[in-house]
Amino acid sequence: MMRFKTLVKHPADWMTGKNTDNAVVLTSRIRLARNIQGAVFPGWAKKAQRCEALEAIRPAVDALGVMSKGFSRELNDLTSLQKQVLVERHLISREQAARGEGCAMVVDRKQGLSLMINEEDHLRMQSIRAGLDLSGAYEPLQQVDSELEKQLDFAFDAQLGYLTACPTNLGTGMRASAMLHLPALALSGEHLTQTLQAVSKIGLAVRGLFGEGTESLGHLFQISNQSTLGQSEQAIMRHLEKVLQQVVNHEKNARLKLLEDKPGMVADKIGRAYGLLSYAQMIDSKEAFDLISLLRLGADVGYFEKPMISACDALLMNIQPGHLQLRAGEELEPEKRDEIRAEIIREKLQSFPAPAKGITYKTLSDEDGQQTFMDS
Amino acid sequence: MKCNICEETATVFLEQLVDGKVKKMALCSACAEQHGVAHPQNFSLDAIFQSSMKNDSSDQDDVSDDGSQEDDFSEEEMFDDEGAQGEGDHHLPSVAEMDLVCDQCGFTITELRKLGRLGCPECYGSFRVAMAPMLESMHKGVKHEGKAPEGSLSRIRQVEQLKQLESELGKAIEREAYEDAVKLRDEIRVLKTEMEAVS
Ligand SMILES: [Zn+2]
Ligand SMILES: [Zn+2]
Repeated sequence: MMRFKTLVKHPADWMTGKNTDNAVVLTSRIRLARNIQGAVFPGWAKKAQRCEALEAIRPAVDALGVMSKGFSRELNDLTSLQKQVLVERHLISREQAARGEGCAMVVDRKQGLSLMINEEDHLRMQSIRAGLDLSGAYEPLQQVDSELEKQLDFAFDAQLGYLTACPTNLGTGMRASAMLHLPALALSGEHLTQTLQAVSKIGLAVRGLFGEGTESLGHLFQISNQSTLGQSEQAIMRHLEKVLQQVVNHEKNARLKLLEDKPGMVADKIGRAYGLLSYAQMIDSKEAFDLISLLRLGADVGYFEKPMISACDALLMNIQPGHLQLRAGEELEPEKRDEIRAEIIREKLQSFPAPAKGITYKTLSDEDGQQTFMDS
Repeated sequence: MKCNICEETATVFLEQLVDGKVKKMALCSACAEQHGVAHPQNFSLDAIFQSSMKNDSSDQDDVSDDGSQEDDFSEEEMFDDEGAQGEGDHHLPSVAEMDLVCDQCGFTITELRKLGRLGCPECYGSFRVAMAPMLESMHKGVKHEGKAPEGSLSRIRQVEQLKQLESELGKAIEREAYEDAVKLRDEIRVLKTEMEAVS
């Protein structure tokens, strides 16, 4: 069985954005909710009922081919720090992290598929991919679902579809979402608000980095479908993908326009971000996220080499409180965390030269992702 | 369980707190409709809608461990004061003050309003009519499109079919129709073999 150490040491492909265009869409994620026919939903179940459901579900989950050599634990057997790290990696939800007896989580070795048993629903299954690729995330998840359904009786109604604890998930039980990085829209004043308002007007949800109720850090936003009943999985993904594509185009245009209209301002912001991050001795999460966001933008518009993007994505993960404390091997006071956070960032940036005047690494319009030097 | 007003099978269950005592009522769908259970006046759809919209990731957990759900309906508790079944409805508490309850898990529609979630899959059947407007405003459609769990569904159908055959067999034996009984027993045997072969 996979150890926690191994899991933490090896970031998933979707976390590093390997071989994918993830300049604007970092990740695509699909979540399916399923429940067991005749069993009380976890939130209303007594402890004994919850454990009974776990006993019924877990063997089927552990028997999945894709989960062999994966990471499978009861929430009770994880320390609160381990849970926090799993939340920061988006492998379990904050709600699941708060649970204990009778609740479990299973992650495949590549950390692309994760299952939660007895979260809000009996089963919450998730698949994540780098870049904009909803159907690529859906397919393996759909297979897991079909595999499980051979063993388990899922609660289903011809009219209402898959029956879920919360009526907002009825029908497909599917939440499709993408994590977007929108710094240029944010820098160009009203555009971000307008775009996001337009998105919510057509029935999609916009949230911050860790879902509902979380503030947006580092210009990162999640966009997802709101309605789950009345449209097929494919129709939901098609609609969402179309909207996402438009937001991506808005952001890309905003990046080009910024460079054209205010090259000095962009260069200044990116240069300052690099300077601060390279020399800071203490930095809190919010400041770090916002500055790293500028470096990430800088890499896409040619101020840094392309690998800066995955360096930024690794930092976004590694500077979070759980990851920091795991690395330090102890619980840390916020002040101490800010010190270690600054240290991790400085270390990482050493391999990236400062953005120099007159030299840019051509990217953006360069669709095939080749890195070429360009004197301007 | 029979309807408290007529003799039909009850499908709608209600409860109300009177002087600190929970009063329960079971109605068939016709009587429920007649008494306006489908559209209780104080049933705030807005409140349900709002609470369910904001709680996709709220912090309520373990609403259950206080043992609040374990009160099954017992025939004795019904109308223990007047025992006036079948005599009309003059003594029925006003339906607007009653609470719809799922007979499978004991969850009530008031709890749905409070928590934005349901107690068990069967709650959707118990609250179907009352929830319809809420679902309509929540989703783009009212009829499921897309994937269905074929395996689960056929297993569930088989279990229902088996129950049906077994009850028919019981009746056949009761009325001493032994030829029918033999036929039914064979059908049951075939079905059982099929069911075992799958699992
Ligand atoms: Zn009746
Ligand atoms: Zn129920």
